[in-house]
Amino acid sequence: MTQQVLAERVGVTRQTIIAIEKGKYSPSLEVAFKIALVFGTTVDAVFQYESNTTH
Amino acid sequence: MGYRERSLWVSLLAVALVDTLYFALVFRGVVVGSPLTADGLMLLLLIIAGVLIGIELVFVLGNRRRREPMDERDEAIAARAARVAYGVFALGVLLALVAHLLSTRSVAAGGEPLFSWPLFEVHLILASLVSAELTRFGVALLGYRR
Repeated sequence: MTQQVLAERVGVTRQTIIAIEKGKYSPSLEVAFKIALVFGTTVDAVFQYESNTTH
Repeated sequence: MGYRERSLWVSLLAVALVDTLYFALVFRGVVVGSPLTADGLMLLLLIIAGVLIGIELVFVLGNRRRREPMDERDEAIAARAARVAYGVFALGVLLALVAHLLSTRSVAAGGEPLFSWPLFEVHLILASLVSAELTRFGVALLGYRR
């Protein structure tokens, strides 16, 4: 699936998909769920949270 | 580069070009000694508004097929840029008010006006508006590049 097709199905621009892929933009829950829905999977299968804090 | 970025670049360059020309004319008028009157200022502003609308129209019509509606990232970037630009504009208006107040006090005390430019405060507010617009475009472009 191309970025353009994914963008159209989710309802965002291709630039937003690129930014999400590069980790430069954190999508809203709604967009995250829509992306997961397009891939037929769950949100946690698509997105992982990476904490930047160091202890 | 996406549609939004291209649109921002066009707007940024158009505003920078037209307003540089405007302030150059105003400054030249003051230096030469034939400053703009209120009518002249109004006419110049109308011409500038016409040119800006024309440039935007040409861009929008030229990119009609490629036009993309704003999504949540575009809106977040635009909102952040607007917040920063609002601060710049507010600061400019505050400066214009202080300048006006100081000038009025100086005249009331029997002195000369502090600023010899006619419509000085109006120009200061216009400069604030232009600075705020340029800031808005700049912050938004940085948001897309981040």
